Amino acid sequence: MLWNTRFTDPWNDDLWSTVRGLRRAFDDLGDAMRGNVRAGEYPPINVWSRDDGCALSAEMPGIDPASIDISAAGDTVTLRGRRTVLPPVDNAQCLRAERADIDFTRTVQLPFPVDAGSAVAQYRQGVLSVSLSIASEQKPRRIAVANA
Amino acid sequence: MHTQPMTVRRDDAFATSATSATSAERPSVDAAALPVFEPVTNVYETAERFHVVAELPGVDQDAVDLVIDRNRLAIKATTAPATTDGLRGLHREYHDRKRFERWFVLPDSVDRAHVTATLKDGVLTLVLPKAEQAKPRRIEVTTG
Repeated sequence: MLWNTRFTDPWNDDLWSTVRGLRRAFDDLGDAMRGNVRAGEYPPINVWSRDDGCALSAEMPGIDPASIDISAAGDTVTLRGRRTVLPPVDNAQCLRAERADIDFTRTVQLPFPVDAGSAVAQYRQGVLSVSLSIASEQKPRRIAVANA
Repeated sequence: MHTQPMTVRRDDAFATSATSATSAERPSVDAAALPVFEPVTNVYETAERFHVVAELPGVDQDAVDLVIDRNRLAIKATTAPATTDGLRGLHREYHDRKRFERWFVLPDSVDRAHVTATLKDGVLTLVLPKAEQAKPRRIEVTTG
């Protein structure tokens, strides 16, 4: 019966939530095809460059930072980890599950080799930030001009 | 003359409402407005209370706005990303500057006066206790 469905579900936030979900899926697909935002990869990563290196940030709320493995070699940076979603207390019944356990491995190829020893990582407000310096052999070097 | 019936899409009608945000990356008419997303949320129930667990990455505690209005819980927040001064964007997969908005209809059994919330590592946890009369009670059977 119609009235036995979402209308009586106290946690259903909108009569048209299913419609919005479908539209969201199509919008994500469209964005992926446009290449602006990559749908479906976890965690989502932003990359910036600066004069002496680069910075990455990744949205990964609710993860134990000690479980995040960051490695860098050459021009590649790899993030590995696992998000475990636990119920807040034992014997809790899940009414809505949009967060799930996930094992992730993301590899980012940078436009230049980086110095892995220079990496500095910080996890704050559920966002991982990694700063890397460009590899020393890639840094610009001034060439002295000798008198002939 | 046959005229096509006009179809009003209800989700479009709510798209500009601050209380029914969509998660689609839809450009805003106002260029200064931040994109709005619905936080990914789990909801749990025990005999004593409900737990709402919502992801709000990049959000400071002071930037979270929680309102219970009658039977509706509204979650709003704005991110406070680190400065990108001196940085040049190379690759983007998410909006670091954005707003979160979502609302839920609360069951009548929620004790609205004693709801608590914590924010840790980008995860907002609300604990909504049930009113005493809504909690399960064991009934003793006596001999007649």
